[in-house]
Amino acid sequence: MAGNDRSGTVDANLNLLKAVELALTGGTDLIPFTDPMTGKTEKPQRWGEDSGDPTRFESWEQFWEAYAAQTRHIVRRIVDLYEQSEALRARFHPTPYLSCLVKGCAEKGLDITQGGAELGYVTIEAVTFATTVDSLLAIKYLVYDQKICTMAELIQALKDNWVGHEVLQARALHKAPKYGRDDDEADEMGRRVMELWTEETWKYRTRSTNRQFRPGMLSWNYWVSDSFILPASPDGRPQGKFLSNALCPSNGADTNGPTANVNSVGKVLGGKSPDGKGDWEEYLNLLPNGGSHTMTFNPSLLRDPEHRQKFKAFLRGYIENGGTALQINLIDADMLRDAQKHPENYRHLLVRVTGYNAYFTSIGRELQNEIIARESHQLR
Amino acid sequence: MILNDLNPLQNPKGRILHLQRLSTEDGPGIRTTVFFKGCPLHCAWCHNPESISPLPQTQWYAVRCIGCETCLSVCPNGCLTKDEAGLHIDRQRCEGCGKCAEACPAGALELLGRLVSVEELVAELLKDRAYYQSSGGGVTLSGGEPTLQADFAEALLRRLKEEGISTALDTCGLTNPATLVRLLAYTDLVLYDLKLWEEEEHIRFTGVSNRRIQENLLFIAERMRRKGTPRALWVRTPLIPGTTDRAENLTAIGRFLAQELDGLIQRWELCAFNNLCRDQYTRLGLDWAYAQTPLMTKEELERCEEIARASGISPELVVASGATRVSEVLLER
Repeated sequence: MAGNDRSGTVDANLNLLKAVELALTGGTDLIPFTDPMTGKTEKPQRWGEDSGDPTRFESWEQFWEAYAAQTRHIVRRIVDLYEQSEALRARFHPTPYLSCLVKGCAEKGLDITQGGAELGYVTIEAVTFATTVDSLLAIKYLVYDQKICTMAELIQALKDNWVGHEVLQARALHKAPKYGRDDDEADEMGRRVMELWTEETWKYRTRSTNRQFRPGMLSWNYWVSDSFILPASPDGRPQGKFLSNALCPSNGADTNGPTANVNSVGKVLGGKSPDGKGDWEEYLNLLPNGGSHTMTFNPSLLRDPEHRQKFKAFLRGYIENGGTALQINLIDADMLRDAQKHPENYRHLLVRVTGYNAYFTSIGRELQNEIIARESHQLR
Repeated sequence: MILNDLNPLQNPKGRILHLQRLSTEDGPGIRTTVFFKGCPLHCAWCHNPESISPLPQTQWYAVRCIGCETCLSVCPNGCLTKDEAGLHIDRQRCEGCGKCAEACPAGALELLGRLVSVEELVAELLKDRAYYQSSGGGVTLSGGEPTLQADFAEALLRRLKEEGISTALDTCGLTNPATLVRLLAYTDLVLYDLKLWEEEEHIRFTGVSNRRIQENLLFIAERMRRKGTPRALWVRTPLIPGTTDRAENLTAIGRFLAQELDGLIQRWELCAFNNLCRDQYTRLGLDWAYAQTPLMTKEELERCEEIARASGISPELVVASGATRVSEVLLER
């Protein structure tokens, strides 16, 4: 709000995947951390909850409870960390000029950095949502439902960054369910993850300034940089492969097309309230600070008035099914060239020709070149 | 035996290839297209070779294979062998049981043609209801040839109409009128293929005569006049270089449409030849006569449009679709 508000958009970034890692170890880092600046390797120590030895868990729900305990722990930890900077600013960094301009400060006799403004929210932006959901789905599928491996085997594979465990990795990548396919069971896992961390976030206010914490999902570039710090994840991702971005399904996971992708996102945002009483009309929104959702389309979808009408209808359907904010990319030739180099990231990428679709990565090189040429052409 | 699965009297099941959601090319609005498996025609240029056989088939994606050889030991008939060139499927012996596809950790082996019940399919199709409603779209039955699985297609269309979903039937036209009557009762739009006008040519390139196809189109037209259903009709002609795109063929089809279907047909769609399916032939271990045929040029496509518009049909009904060739310079970039 203008004039009476001191709310941040990206005050703190919470990496949800860390809670999966902590649940797999009972509260320590999975692999020792080496500081890239000093080159020193730290000894792993327990800093999370003592959630028990997962190799002794007998059911999926037991693992979920461990994950939930670790999620509550990392939310608490980020709240405490944020409190330190908030308290320092409140004590040592007054901004009297700004405080004169914002309603509430004069009335309360408090500087804006001391919580003077009428409104004041601190936002925790969670990152790595889909990788977290897919990792939980993979653990459930591999260890508990299909019993393809034991928990100890899975943990070893992650410690080895999947090297020497390629068949298990392939099963995690290609056989385990994924968020983003409009699969109700998988999306229910996504909703549970979302509810858990957002409910925990709403429990806190800053102690020094009494500002309420609220949840959102913007990833900035953390989905890239964190991917080199966090170890391999149970969804089949090796260390260094990018994490998922904001609310989006993992790259390549949304194999049922754009409407399925969008429906999944709508479900984890809360969807329609069963009693018809939502946060906005009948809709729930678990991320009031916004959830960023990006999708990529082929420019030919917009090639003439008839198709532009269809695209508008798609956007109306997006809202109807619970979506809140969509960022739209049109595919460019450079991305298609990247898909040639890294097909594993683009298995979902559909290209359309005469009443006919093909997965870009499943066709031959020569034809891919033709399509790239066509796309370059269309963009001119 | 696999074929028996297709024909139980109650709860008919259908063998389908896949669903195409957010389909924008198979009728008005946003649609989900259901691709049926099995077709009575064998068009030399077929763009969906996996849809011709009514039986399940196995295919292997080289790019996805991790070389773990899990598949070799699970095949009950020993159809799979592997050498430097990759995995080989003995198509004579493969029964399409799907065990290898199920076991493949990497999704490199795929079973084409899964058996689905009407209810499970409808549940999937209804997930995009919001988009059908916002766009005036619906569900299109395509393939392959939906009329080959008439019990299933009828039950599916009926359930969709019960749900208030608009329906389209994309057909090659080679079926019997009794089947058409059953399906048209629940069909809003028919997408009807007319490929080649001359019977001999039709036999040569599709393997069958086109007499029944032409008669059935007249039968549908008569039904539209008398009963008002289906409500809409689009005719589609694939443009195949050297065969269907010839001037005399397009003129003959256009003349027929103008004489017999005046006021009934909403659109005559000319679909440009595409060669994207080349790899599908390779994956199925098949040769393709059009493997080396390039896309049409923009000028060639425009020439076809002009011929069609001059054939006697209302020119505004002619719509061309599909990609055309671009210059070689761009490919080098």
